[in-house]
Amino acid sequence: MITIKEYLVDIYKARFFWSHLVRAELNVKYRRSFFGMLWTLLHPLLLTILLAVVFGTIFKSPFLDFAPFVYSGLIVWDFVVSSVTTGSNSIINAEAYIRQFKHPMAIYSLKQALVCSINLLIAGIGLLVWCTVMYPQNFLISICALPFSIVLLIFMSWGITTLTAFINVKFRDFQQFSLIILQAIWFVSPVYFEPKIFVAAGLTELLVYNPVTHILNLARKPLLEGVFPDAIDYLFAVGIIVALAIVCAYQVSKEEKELVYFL
Amino acid sequence: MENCYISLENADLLYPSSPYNAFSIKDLVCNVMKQRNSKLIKDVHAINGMSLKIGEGERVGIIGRNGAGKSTLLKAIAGIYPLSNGSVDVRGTIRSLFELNLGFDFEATGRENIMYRGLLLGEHPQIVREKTKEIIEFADIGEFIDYPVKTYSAGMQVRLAFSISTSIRGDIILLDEVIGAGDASFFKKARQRITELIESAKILVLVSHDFNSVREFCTRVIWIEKGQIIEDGIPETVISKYLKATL
Repeated sequence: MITIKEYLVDIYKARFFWSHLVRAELNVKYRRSFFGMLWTLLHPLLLTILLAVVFGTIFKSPFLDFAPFVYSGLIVWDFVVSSVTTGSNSIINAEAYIRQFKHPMAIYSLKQALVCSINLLIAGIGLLVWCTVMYPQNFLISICALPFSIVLLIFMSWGITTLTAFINVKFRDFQQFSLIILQAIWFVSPVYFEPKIFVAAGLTELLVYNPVTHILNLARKPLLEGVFPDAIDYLFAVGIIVALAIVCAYQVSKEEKELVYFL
Repeated sequence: MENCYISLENADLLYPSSPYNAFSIKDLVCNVMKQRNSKLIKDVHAINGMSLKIGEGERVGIIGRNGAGKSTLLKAIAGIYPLSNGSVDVRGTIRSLFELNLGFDFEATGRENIMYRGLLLGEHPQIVREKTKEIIEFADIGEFIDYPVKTYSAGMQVRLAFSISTSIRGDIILLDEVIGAGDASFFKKARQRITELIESAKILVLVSHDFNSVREFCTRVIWIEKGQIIEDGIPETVISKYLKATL
């Protein structure tokens, strides 16, 4: 029986392979595209302008304040959604490799988590530049707080991609269900809706106990407010990571071996 | 003490039927409308209580009918398929050549795929870079190496896959029917390459229906049927018994 330490060592040994897969996926995505990787930045930027105009008018929020809020919500939420959706296919899509060589299955979900994280980072650079121009006083705090936030988000993404990838191999309806659940979570989360709307509607608890609020705060607090995320934000993030790590360790120990038969 | 070996003790491998008995809403509607039940398939006992020891220096051929469990045995040795019962113990780095065309990224160029497959097989990027020129020369696909693999003919794909897979050496070589790859002109070159690969390995396990290859490369032959060893011995004896029983 392989231990967690041995499993992690095997993942490390295969580092050249999965890091190459990450690079290849990023290259293939924008192959023969004129703007190439720039789309990772352009897409949320253009969508933000559209959303900030529409929602800003509806909620009577000034564009210049509301747009960075929307942009940060958009890129972090997109990161969570892509971790679930692309993550759930990460092992299924690696079938050709899995049938040829024995690597830990978690390298394929790790690859997907890193792809999602790099996309977030590229889009996040746009947000950092934007916020630095608008709120230069927030720059120092952002530079100090964001690296830790990013590390937490990467681990969270790996947990999500591994969990969903293992489930989706055996239960192919999972991805469809997960999309509906994500849509439901979106409606009760401050992704585009400002917290003041929840408070005005008497739904403060929905904000406080919603993990998405705290995940979003990891980026929003330093960039938009110029403060470190609250202890409760870190607590939620670390709690999610620990919970995911326990579930994934269980999945790996119980299900990894027989997964090949379900591909 | 032996450095390399393969050891199987009372090995059982059952392909679970559950993935193929999955029930969908379409099955439900069809069953109600046509008043019949879908037939459930059973688990397949691909390796059945097999014990086997292969030591350093041995060149072993595995023969048997289609579906006898030959390829499954190779994949169990490679650690790709887990055993249901018993144990498999392998000492030495494994180099497996199974379905050659599997694992190509068709959007990527041939050159990129050399790196892909080299790293998949556990090689260091620097080593793969050093071998790239030789792999391209051996595959003999010229300027196409910088085109996406999806533009290649089937023969070019096989030549490239064969060239990459055989360029990386290992202690234990597991070969599944890949001795004659590509067209006639490539065949001779490929056979020479395989011979070199086998000679450099400490253990060879070869699954093949080509008895000439088995006779040429192997010093021991195992005939398996329904996941069990029927005969294990010197090539000529086992092959003649197998042919007598099956023809």
